[in-house]
Amino acid sequence: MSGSMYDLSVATYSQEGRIYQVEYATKAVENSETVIGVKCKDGVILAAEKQKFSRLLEDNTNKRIYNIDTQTGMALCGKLPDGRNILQRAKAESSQYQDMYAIPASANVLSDRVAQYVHAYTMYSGARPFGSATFIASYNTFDGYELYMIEPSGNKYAYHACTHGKGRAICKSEFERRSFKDLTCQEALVYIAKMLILAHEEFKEKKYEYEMTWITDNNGRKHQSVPQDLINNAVQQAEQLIEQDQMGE
Amino acid sequence: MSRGSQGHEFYITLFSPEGRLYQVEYAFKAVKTSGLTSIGVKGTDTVCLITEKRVPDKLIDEKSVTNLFNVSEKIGALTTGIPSDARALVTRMRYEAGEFRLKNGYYCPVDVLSKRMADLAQTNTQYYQMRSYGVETILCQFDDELGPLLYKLDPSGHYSGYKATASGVKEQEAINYLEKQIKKKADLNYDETIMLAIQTLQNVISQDFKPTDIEVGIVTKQDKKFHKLTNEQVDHYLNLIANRD
Repeated sequence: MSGSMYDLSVATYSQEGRIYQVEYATKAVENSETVIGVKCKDGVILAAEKQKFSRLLEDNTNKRIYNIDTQTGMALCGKLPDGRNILQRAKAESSQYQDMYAIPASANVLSDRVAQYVHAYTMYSGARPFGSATFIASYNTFDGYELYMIEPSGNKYAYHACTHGKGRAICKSEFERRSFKDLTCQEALVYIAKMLILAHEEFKEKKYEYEMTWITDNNGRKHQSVPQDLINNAVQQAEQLIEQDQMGE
Repeated sequence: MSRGSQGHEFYITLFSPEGRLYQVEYAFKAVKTSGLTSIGVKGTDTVCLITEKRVPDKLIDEKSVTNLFNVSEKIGALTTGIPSDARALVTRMRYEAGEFRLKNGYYCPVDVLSKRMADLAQTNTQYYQMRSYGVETILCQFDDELGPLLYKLDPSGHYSGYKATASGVKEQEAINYLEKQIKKKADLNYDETIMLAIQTLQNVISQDFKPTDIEVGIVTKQDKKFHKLTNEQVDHYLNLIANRD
């Protein structure tokens, strides 16, 4: 796909009415590490794979999933520095909303504001779009569990399950095969670990670690990291499942 | 497409030698990239807006997919084009309508809002900083003084009031069909307005609809609040049309 001169600025439409800069920004996300968000029977889970690209890196630091407030979490996919910019904005929006209205912002409102912030960077010739997709998971008493994904174009939708990054095709087919709505968060961890492991099949020699957070009925409906031992168990079981599948073939 | 313009199509602030603004024309093309068609029809005491509802991905929660918005209690907006641009425009329209209400003490009439949004859209065609929105918006309201009103705004900053209009992929076919129908009968009552809108959409897309495939919004003389029809109400009209044929 050659953009010729139409891809030099986000404020330029191509002849067919496409905006190439936004499409290229989406490519930047598609080539990055996989992130998954899933709504289960009793909660929401966010999960990300992280490549340990240097032995000098500390384990389980360098997070990709952050708290926006106690009951809302955001996962970053794509260019992390861009994602952190969006995260700061989300935190500010959430905090201002709470100041003004005395209740936490629902995911609907928060993701809408974040999406419009991201969208604004697709309008001006002086700036470039964010090379990052963000996932917002939250719980509040009125709307229950919610999951949103915001793409670099500023598009946002509510999802039952969503994914972005290199392994998104594998994850999407797994979503269609398995109904996560019928699994509890605890049960779903294994399958999520399986998706993340399959997502980097070609890079098996590299070392990966997995970051997972959840908001469930069992953990007080707060956005918290999944305990490390649960993640390790899930990864182990997932590896066994994958071996079984491969032997079965 | 003739490439005789040599560079004038990349920049919004440059006219081509033939006097065209290519970037604005490309913005119109962007409206069609959404793949949807939208219709607006005005009757004697009703205005109806209708669009296809296509959920892009099975994993998406259908409740979050919509192109039909309330700009204020009384003004309804139907957007066609790039979804994120549409969302930004709706927010701006809500702000403008709200500001008007605050400053002037009465609800912003849709013709005033259309003019304001059109003027804003025009600045995007004249200044380099921002690109035009890739969205066509159809607005409707039942005004206290002027009665039912239907307006369409486009990326060039043009706006106009209509008896019936369409935008999106099948815009031209829909407009041709509407012209023929309106010529036959222009004063439509509540049911006829809605049926004409649904019929037009069915005709140009040549597909049988389920109630969940379309979104219908109306505003009437009795109930000046813009609201969406429920699936049952839409089903009722689909059956009426099917039985009539």
